[in-house]
Amino acid sequence: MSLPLADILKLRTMVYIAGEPIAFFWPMRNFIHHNPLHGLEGLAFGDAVERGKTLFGARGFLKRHDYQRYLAEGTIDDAELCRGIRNFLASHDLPPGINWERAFHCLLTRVADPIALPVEIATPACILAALRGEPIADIVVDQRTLTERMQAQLGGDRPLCEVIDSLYGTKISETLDDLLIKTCLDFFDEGQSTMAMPGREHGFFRAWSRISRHNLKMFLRGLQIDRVLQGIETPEAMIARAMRIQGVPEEYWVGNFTRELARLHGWAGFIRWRQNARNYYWAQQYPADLVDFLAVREALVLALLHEEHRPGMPATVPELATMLEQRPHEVFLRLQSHSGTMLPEMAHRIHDTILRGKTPDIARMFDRYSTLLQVDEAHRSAAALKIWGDAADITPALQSLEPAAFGSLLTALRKFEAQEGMIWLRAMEGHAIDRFARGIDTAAPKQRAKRPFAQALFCIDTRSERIRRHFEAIGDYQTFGIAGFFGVPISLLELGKGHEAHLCPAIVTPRNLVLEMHVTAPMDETVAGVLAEALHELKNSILTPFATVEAIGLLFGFDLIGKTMAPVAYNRWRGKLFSDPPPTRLLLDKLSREQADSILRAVQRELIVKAIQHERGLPTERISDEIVRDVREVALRRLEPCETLAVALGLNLSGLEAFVERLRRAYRINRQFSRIQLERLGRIGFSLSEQAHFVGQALRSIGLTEGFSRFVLLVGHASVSDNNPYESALDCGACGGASGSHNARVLAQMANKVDVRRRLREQGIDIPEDVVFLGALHNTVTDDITLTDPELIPPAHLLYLDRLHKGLVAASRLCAQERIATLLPDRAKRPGTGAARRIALRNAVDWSQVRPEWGLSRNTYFVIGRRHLTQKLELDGRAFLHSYDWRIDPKRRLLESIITGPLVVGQWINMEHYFSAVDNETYGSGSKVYHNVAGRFGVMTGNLSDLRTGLPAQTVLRDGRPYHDPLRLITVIEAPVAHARAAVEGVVTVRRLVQNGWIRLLIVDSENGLLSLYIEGGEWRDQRLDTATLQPITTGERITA
Amino acid sequence: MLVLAALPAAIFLPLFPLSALFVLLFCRVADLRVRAVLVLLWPQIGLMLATLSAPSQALRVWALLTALFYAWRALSVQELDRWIAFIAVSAWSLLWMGWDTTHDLASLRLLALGFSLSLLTTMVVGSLLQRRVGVAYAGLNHGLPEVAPRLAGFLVVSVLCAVATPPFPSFFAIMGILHRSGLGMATGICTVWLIWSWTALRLLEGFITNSWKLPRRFADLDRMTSFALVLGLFVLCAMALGLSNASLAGQ
Amino acid sequence: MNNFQLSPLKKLEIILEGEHLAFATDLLDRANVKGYTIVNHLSGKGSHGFHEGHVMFNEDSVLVMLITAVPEELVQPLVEGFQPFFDHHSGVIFISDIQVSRLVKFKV
Repeated sequence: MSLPLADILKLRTMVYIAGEPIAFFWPMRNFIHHNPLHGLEGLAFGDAVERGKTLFGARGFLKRHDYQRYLAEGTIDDAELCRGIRNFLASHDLPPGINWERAFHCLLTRVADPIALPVEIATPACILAALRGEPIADIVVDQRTLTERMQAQLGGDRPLCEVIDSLYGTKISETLDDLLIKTCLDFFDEGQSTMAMPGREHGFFRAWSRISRHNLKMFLRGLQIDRVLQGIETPEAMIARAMRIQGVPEEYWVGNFTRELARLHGWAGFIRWRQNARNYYWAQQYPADLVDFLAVREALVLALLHEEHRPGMPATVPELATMLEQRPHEVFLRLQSHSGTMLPEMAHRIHDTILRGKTPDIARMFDRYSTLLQVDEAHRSAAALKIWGDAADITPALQSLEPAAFGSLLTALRKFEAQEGMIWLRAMEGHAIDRFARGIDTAAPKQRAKRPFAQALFCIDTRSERIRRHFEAIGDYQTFGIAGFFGVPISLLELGKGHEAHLCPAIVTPRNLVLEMHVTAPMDETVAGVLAEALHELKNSILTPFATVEAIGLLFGFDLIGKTMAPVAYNRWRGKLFSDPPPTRLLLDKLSREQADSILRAVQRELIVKAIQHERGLPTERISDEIVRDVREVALRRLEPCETLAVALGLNLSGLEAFVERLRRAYRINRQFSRIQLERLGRIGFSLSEQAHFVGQALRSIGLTEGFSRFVLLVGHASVSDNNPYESALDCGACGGASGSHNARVLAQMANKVDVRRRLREQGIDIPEDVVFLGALHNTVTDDITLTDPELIPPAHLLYLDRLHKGLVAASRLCAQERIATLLPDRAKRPGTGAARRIALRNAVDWSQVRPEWGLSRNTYFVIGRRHLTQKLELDGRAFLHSYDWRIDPKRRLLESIITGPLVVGQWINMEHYFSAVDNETYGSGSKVYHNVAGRFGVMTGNLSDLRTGLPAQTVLRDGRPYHDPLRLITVIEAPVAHARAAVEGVVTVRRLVQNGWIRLLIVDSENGLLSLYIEGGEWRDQRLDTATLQPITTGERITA
Repeated sequence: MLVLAALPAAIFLPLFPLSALFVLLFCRVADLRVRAVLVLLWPQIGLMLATLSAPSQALRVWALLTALFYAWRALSVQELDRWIAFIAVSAWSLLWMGWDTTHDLASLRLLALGFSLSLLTTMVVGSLLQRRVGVAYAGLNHGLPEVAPRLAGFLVVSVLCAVATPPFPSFFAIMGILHRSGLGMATGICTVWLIWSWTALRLLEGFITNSWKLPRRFADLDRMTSFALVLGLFVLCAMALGLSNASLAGQ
Repeated sequence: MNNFQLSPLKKLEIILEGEHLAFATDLLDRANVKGYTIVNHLSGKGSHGFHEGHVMFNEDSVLVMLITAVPEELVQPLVEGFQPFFDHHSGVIFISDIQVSRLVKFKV
């Protein structure tokens, strides 16, 4: 059966739309923090969170008692809380006579659990009667409303198999998930297993369908996959068939697909990423997309539905609708029974009655049960309301309400508790904004007498905030914040690696390639290095365990004991066994045509020599340069094959032609490939004007255009830990989850070139002769800052190097002391600098440490402005600090580039932490203890589960409570109000983020002495700068939609 | 004739279909003490009523089939009470197998007691649970460890106790029966035992896994009760070990 | 002297946000369209507001246009195929009649 083209295309588009709410999942080798609700950013924050709750079953806000704890600790603004309550009450009509503001405030602050319990049957009148202590009148349940409510619950885009599960207690969805996960693990394996799934090159669906027709396990289970797959060639046809057999109306297909995909949102997100990744080797070899994934799932759905079918069970959506119409009582009892919330007293009898299936019995059972349920619900709701009433002293008032008024109160209460998360969130943000506003320094900075001893550019990462503070405090140093890739997106080909690494934010594609080259001759590998290599290979072989356990098992045991008992000392000793990596240089100047030709020639000659040695077995002395040159010319068709050459190689003419053909085909020494290689070589490096552009852009964006000091450090950052699948999450996000040292080196090398400086002088940035740019690396686990290329420091500067080193060491020790205190238990004493350093060093090598550092947890602010603004404020490592001087940016280009790039990355990081903190089980990845690495790109919990997305519990929680305060990113822009607003308006993505409430925006206008805060709904709240309380004095104009 | 004589015994040392009587009675009675007496005395009465001559092979096979049948039924049961009743019937049917002329009734009585005591622990913990949730229904009490970890722990231990896990008395009872049966019967008994453990895990799955969905919360066991239960279990095991040693020594 | 012949075809101009470019080109590929042209960095106004044309870091939020010439029988499947997409996203498809001289480049 083949579908018409229009249907195929339409189906593919539907699947694309259906997959949009599922966020991408990047392989964890380069962990990318992202917003799990990225696909829903078109909605307002509150709505998106609601939708996330429907799709993923996840909470969007903390539980009330968590917020109450924050309130007790003083991190929530009570006035803002009251304002939120007032806003809610203003739009709801509540019965007069009670101080509702006080009552609702009491509800939020003194009642631990929500009181508006969901009820199925009890009416407000029943609950009121229970509250008054009166007997509850038995009500007859209205069939119509009950049926409608169940139709809403079970119909629409809810997949049929989920409905069957909730009615019959079958485990179709779970089995489906398991089977699908197993298939995914087999298909997406990237060389980890020794036996691979056959036929993967044909695509996910085709490979699976071939195998599953012969799958013994499925056959034993009774799944007739053959029948389901009969006549189906393409995944689109499979999906269409499944939807038609289940009778799902076409308007619900997209919703249906989304729900199915959302069940395994980790794997679906991974497939979405993979089908988009153009240059991913595995995706090119073994293609798979969401349509394939969904097709496999739908095939299994059909098979399972068929297998689980019993008489009386609906097999299609229309049959389900008929069942709802004709047997609503049975449906209700079934739903209750399998939801796990049924009243236990009647559970067994109801179960039996349903099984027997006689309608009059069921109706009678329904009546009895509904009465019981009604009474139970009424009493529970009344008890909950009484708790509130007693706490707020309004119980008598509640009891004396009229039933109609009571009903409207209950509705209002339900709505309030559904929205209370936003009210708490705004109150918490209010406090954070207030704290910030009180601590900033908006006075004009004093003019410096002389230039600082050294300047350092750190990444905007929140961890830099601490070390910048300490660095500035211990000497005459000035620090700046810039995105961790220093504005230079590069693709790096490291020494000895076979692929390029993209060192830039995930949203950018780098256009230039940089090579890392040896300085000295290649060193001999030490014995230890070779042994390590051999051991690693052994671990992967399937036969290894049998042969080598006795032989070398002890070696592994030795390693195990050493790593566990004395990690720091053992690692230091092991490090001595291996030679230091050779010093390298980066090749980043564009090659001239001659240079490129020469490199290509050299590479091809190497290959030819190897080919002759390998194929013809000639020793090196017999292979002269002329022979190699001639062979090359023949291969490139610039020369005809001749006798002498053939003889020199020990062949006849035809043999020579065969050999050359092999060179052309297998070794790719031919004209077309040479052209491609030259193109690739052309990608290497940056032209002079590009270099000047990047350096100028970087310096201008942070406002450093004059007053350069002798040393300008470019400090990238990276994290070192052992046995940590999330290691990449702690590295620099702006560098795509890699170390920032390479970009630092690149920019430093560029900025030190005389030609570049000449160009910059023409553009107005005058860098004096004695300024040297140095790359450095900040290890965020130990807080060490090491210079990456100390040999490149000119001799004149060596005099001052000592002072710089002392400064760096002091800053890192103080910073470690402050930071390690947060990793120790709450009541521990603050450690001394020596003790802190020891702990930090141990964290970097201890393979049992689940929390080597807190990373970006507790990130709250994103400040775009001069350092002077925040210099006096201790932000506890909670702020992204990007230096910016609005005075040199009249066209707002620099501000726009900052908000379009680094701010968006910051928002992703913030949202990742937010959602992992509020619901770690669904949006986060749970505890690290149960993680198993799957296929080298992700983790699962246990031996088989969905790919875990988000951050682990150890990163955002502490002792079960949130350590990261879940707030939306508070973006602060230091610029005149009109300037900042125009910039935000001009960038579509950021404008949408602000309007939909994904980030908060605060503008600090030191020129005019104003603070302007964006409130949801298009309003701004302004206040004068010398008072510290945020009282509204004007509501500014609306931001246009 | 022999069959007719065995009839009253078949009620108390249950054989299908007379076993239904016990199940009915057990589920009807609500009070823990009455149930305890029922569980302790029922097999003893059965043993008293049985004639002293060994039962025929046919009767033994029927007893084994009864045991298998009730074990299999217990697989799909979700109420704790019913489960206990089914396991009780299954266990006591096995006693027919342990009966041969070389051993006297006294040792059989000890075996029966072993079963009864093990079931008693489950009943005690079950009643503690019932007092808190109303009806101990697996599937409606998912996530018990979240709410009452101590109670959940004791539930696990007591359910395992009922299905002849060492070192509880029922284990030694089964060992005793196996000791006295031929190869064919022994295979049958081991199958029954296997199914018991399967039912135990299925039942526990309904209590221990997933998370707590019901809105009601309640207090866990206090330290005194927990301590008493632990003590009780220790005493039970010690007794079982001691008695089994004695019975083995006396072979 | 010259065998100059023009053949009629339909031109589709598809304007959508840059982040969906991969999806659109994939759909065209699956419809066996022989080729297409991509025009980048457009600016314009639609029901969702004004789009600035310049791009900084983020290439996703700019508008792009795909131009392709297809035989008549592909128009309806393609328009139907894109329809669910444009129900949820901003963008348009313009269909016009054109003529091409080298039909072999556009039609199988």
